[in-house]
Amino acid sequence: MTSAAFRYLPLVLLALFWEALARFNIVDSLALPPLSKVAVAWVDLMRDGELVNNGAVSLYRVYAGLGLAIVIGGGLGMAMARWRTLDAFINPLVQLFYPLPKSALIPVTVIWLGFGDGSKILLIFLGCMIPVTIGAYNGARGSEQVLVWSARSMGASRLRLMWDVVVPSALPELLNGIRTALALAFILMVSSELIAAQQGFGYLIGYLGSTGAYEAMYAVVLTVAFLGFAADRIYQILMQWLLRWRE
Amino acid sequence: MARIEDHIAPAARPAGISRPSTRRLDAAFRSGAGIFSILMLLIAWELFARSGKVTMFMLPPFTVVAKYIAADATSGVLWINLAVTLYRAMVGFFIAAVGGITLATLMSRFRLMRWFFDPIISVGFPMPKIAFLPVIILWLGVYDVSKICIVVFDSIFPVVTATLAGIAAVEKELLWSARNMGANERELTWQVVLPAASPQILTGLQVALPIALIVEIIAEMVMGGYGLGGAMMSASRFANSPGVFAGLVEIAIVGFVLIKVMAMLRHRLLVWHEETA
Amino acid sequence: MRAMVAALGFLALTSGLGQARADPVKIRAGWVAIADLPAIWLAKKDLAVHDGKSYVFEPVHFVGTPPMVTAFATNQIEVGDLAFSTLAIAIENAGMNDMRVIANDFEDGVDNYHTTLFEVLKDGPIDKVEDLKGKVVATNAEGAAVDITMKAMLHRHGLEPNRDYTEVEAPFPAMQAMLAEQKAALIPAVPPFVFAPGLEKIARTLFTAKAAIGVSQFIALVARKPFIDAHRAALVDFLEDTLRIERWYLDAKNHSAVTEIFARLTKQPADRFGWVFTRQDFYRDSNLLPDLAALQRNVDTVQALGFVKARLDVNAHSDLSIVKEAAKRLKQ
Repeated sequence: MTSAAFRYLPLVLLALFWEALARFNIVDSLALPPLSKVAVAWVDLMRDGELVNNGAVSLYRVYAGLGLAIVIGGGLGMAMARWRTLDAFINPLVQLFYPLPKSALIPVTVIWLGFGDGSKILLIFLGCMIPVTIGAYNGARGSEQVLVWSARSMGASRLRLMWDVVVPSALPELLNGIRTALALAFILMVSSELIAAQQGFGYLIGYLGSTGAYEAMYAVVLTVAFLGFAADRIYQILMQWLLRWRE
Repeated sequence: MARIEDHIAPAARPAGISRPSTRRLDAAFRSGAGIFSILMLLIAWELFARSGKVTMFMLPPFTVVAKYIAADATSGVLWINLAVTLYRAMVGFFIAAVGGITLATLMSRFRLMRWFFDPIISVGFPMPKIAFLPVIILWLGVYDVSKICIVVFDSIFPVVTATLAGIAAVEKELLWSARNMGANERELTWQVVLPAASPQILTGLQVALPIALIVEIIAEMVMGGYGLGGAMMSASRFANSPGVFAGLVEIAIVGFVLIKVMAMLRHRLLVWHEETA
Repeated sequence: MRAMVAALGFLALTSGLGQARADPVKIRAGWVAIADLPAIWLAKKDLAVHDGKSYVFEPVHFVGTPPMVTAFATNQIEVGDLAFSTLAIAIENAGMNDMRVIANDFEDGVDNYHTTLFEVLKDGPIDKVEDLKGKVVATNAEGAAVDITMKAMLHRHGLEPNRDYTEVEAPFPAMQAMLAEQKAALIPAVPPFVFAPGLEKIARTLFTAKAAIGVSQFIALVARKPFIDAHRAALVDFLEDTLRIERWYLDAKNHSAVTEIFARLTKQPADRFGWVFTRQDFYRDSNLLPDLAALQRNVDTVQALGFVKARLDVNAHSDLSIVKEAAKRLKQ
């Protein structure tokens, strides 16, 4: 316990440094309000429900988009690894879209689906699909051919084979792909909401910032940052649990 | 408690799908199929856009978009926007690269540095740092400096974590023998540690580069002005769909070329390494 | 790609289903500023005798009229409070040739009525329009009426966006802060923010919309022809209610009640709203009839600046028969 406290002491120091900078007017307190005032603003935002309402919208978008990407991207990646013809045709498209800076899709998804949930979910889905597909593909390709053969010789059907043999052995790579996608989903959520939305964390940050409510803006920024961090940590725990059979 | 090294797993996988060695005929089939499917995509785009099922606004035909890009190229607007975007993304990327490698080197050499920065890096790495964009605008305005800053802020983390992991993985025997031959700490860093860690460092850079591009485009969309992302946002405001899709194609090409160049550079730089042998 | 098609198909399917079942018809109306018709409409819902019967009214907020064009294209609104600039953009650029002006919301610069002000810092470095070279100017959304108006003025003084000045987007409520903190050298000030007590202490007017583009048919209610054709009776009912509401707001004897409504909507004291629906406010027509001649001049300006390519004939894109029919009913 003490070692953990010692380890995270620098973060506390950083917070105290921030408070001091603002308190002693070393920097403009408008540009950097004291952390304590940010905390007060956070409580206010929680109390009037704005943070919770907008946050629920944002998280729904993240997990709906990511969920679709896992199901469709994961399936596609494993199918590509199994069927060489499919691979030959789809792989070039994956290679083509992999380097696309996904943020360029923001105005396009707005043109297709407008300003609501639909365009954000589509954006997050498209953005997350590639890393998940690649993870599933690389994982499934790596699954040992011997295992596949022996399963087949025991009379397993193709679908059973997929589920019992290919999916578990593709899991580590797939889970890593999903982790990359999770980080990307948060980035795309915040930025698309900053640019074109009427609800959500990003919208709230942009709105509070432009009305000069900087304390509240910092409160939302820190909340999003923390949620992104927490989502990653929780995912890591889940990942370890899913992979416990490997030990 | 999670350590920095935990973050390396996803970072360790650079561009794309690894292809197994294939026979010549197979390779010919694959490349043929590749060109075929990209062509099919473009044809499908064109036909779908002209089918009447979608409006010009929702999906302008590919030929219209190509003409728009050509017109922008002849008028010179494309090159100004391209130059501005590349300039900011690359300056940001280089600062992140140099800064990240330096910071990680210092962290691995000095315990105090490591103690201080370790939690900051490991907590900061998974955060959606783009949320800080309005804060950076508040501090630095809407010009180049703030755009470059957010690019650095976002892309430095994978460089630091990859470099740290690379340095940690340098074999102890290598260090001992170098010390035995009389190398001081400085020489050790420059001539032994960094070269030995370079494959991992390059992997970190390969992760950081797309991040730099993604963030630069977002920053331009939010702040306006010249640049491919800014032009795309402007086009969107004027309901100029060909302009929006032209932006998408241009940005896609920039991303594609940069990432290929980076992969080639990796290949060149690691000629000596077993990875490329 | 496949996912996109699926998503589009899904959307088309659900919106189709929604329309088939919905009865009364839903009228979602986009608005930007607090005094826009769709915004003040709800506060006097009690005058809307047909609401909930032949139609259901639902206002939707946007930071500017340009995103409303996208909302029209993606079927997220049925009626919109479009500016002259975004009307031209919607028809010429987005290809929505079926856009029809159905009623007036307000005009800028009529006689001694209000005109939009473009403000700079009182003691700042900007004395004339040319001084804006190399500066940041604020706009609510690129392509909006105030944006085109501002660009027209700067263009006349030889200044072009990006080349000579940088634009940042910020919502109207934020404009005063943008100027005060020197994040922008020039801001557009629209009601109610133009009357905010703090603004006149720090700002002065560099130019007006009237000086930039003359009298303008700034904002008008717009709907698409297929919707008009399918739900004409409901729209007549809607505009009948809207006329009743508009006239109530314009009636001088309701003035104090009107200021109370604005106080409630904006959470500010009522005495700040002495100007609303008076001669200090924008011009509003009690018959909701737009000034099509002014509108034609305005869209010609948009074309002259190069934001749309072809000339737009506003007469061909107006359908005032609905509002006239509604007005006739009120007389009986």
